[in-house]
Amino acid sequence: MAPDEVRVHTLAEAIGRLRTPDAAEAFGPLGDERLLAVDVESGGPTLPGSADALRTRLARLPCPTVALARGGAHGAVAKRWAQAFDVVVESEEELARVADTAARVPIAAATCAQLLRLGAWRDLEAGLVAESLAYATLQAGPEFAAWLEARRAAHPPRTDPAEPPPVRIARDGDRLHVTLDRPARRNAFSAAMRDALIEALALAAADASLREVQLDGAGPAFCAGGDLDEFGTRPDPATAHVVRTTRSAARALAALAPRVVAVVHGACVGAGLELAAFAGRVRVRPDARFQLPELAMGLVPGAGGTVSLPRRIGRHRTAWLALTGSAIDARTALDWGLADEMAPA
Amino acid sequence: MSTGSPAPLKPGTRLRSTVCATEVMVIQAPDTPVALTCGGAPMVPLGAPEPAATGSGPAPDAGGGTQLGKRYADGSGRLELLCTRPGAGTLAADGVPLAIKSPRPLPASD
Repeated sequence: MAPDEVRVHTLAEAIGRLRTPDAAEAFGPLGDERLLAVDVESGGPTLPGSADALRTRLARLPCPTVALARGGAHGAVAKRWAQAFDVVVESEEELARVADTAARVPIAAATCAQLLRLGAWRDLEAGLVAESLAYATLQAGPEFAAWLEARRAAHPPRTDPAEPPPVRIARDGDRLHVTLDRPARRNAFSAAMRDALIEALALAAADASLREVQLDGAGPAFCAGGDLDEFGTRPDPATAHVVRTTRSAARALAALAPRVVAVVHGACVGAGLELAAFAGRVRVRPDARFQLPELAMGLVPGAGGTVSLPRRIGRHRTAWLALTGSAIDARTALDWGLADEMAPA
Repeated sequence: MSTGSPAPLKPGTRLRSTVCATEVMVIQAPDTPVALTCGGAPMVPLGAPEPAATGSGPAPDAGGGTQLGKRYADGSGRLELLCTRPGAGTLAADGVPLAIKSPRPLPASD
């Protein structure tokens, strides 16, 4: 969808439209508009109504709600209203990226927005359960099915039963070094890697004399995301939900967070980013780039990212990464607080 | 060869090999005493004032090695050790080698 096709409402228009009881039906996957975009600088400081009242009405919409703040997300006017919305964009170009996602995968976009509105990420377990439920819902949906069909047509799944262990661990005194080690696959996060990472973290959990756990990746990338060759191989979405909440690398990392330093480079994408963000400290190499690609697949982040990212960068920027699908660099990650320190190249 | 400590093991207890670098933590233990060996020699409490390792290394039939972070269990399901430092010796309980306990297989969830 080209930028000029996205309808941008003024605040007054939006408030008027939302007053009708069936406003929600005009928006979202079943409505005529795939998102609600509002120019939050259009009303001026004298506009009646409060951001809280607007937020309550916007929360009914089964679609992303987008605040357009050309003067920047941190301007006084934007700040007054932005809290009512799912995501803040600073240009028509950014808005077009959100609109494109909402047009291509409206169910995933709506579900992502609704998930983050819950605020469940404030409680680790509640957040992981909520995310997994949303993920399972989308695993059963038409957008993921379409993505999977196209993926399998273009890339028949590869399996290598003789693959070496996907995680390497070494002990050096009171430090444990945990390395994701599928370099030929850019450390794609597979079920085997999940199990090996959890096993490695269980060692540190049991042995309190391990004062620091360094988590990094071998090869060109920290972790390029979930292993796409495994996508669609889960037994069924309901059982997959149970698997995610039974054996969770996110939970294991969060429990150890004060002792964990993630050192990330290259692609830090999807599950790679979501898991790294649980670390108490995230050290980035200058070539690191960060991205949440799940929505384009008809999904939401499913490795804990809707918990770990809001905790570091807030729900708006988490939604921005998910809904735009855009990558950010190491410098931006530091500015946002997604990462804590720069490591040497 | 000694028969090892006669007292029952307690979860959380840390032991080391006297013939290799292996160290373990007891995760689960039966109520009855178990003679734990590594590399064919009795294991001793970590930090115990024991004589230094002999340097002779594991016995020839007990040199399979231990892997960091792996859990080792006997057939009863009541004894489980976590390897906190790897070494060259094989862990055994009452003379029977312990096996690596792998996590229950769970499918991919994507």
